[in-house]
Amino acid sequence: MKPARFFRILLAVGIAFAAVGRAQAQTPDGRIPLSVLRKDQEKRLPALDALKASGVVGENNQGFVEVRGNGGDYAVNLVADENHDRAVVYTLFACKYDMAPKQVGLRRARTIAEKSKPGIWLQAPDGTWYQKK
Amino acid sequence: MNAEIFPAACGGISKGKLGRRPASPAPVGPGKPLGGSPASSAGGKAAFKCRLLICAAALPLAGCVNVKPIEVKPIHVTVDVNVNVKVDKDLDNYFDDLDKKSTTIAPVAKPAAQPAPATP
Repeated sequence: MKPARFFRILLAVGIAFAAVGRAQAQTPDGRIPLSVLRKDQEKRLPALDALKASGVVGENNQGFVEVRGNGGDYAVNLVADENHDRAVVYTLFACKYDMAPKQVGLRRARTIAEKSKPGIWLQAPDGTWYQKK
Repeated sequence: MNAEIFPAACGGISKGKLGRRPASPAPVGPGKPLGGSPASSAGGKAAFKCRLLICAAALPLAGCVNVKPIEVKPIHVTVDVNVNVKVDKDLDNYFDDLDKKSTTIAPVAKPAAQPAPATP
């Protein structure tokens, strides 16, 4: 077997495996169930908590996390993934109750601000950042 | 009408020239004056009564215009409050497990139900 052909077959097998893995995470109508999102969020929770505790990441007033300090690419990617999942959840609830996802995010932000432990950076409704006491 | 935007429609009249309408020229020649006092002639009285009637008919209509929007507001507010409560509940159901596992979010202690006052 020629090497080029071998690599072509290997590539096809890899794509097939990736497609099967993605299909398993989706419902038959092509949507990703909330349980999958929650598992992903649960996996990244310790890392996100560490960043929040160190002050690199804060909770903004829209219900999303935001990089405040210098966390590098790691923090940026983690925050982007978390915000993507949160946006999906907010959009889902917004569709359910016929309201804007932003409103759902605002309500979640309020809850986070109430529940956050001291030392966590939060964004006030007026846009200013403060450390919870 | 703005003369700078629609110069042709205004006949090329500049802004400075727009002002009070010039008084109409006095009637020329013999005949009855058009704008005489209402008491001076029967035609004038009739015209005056006609204007009064039109004004009287228009008054109730003008009074009915500003009533409608007031009644809708309480219903709208009630619906919003109910929806917000439902959204909060759904968000809590979804994020509750995550919040419990999180080290940066503390569970908010819900106020315990107060015992009923002892009756003598």
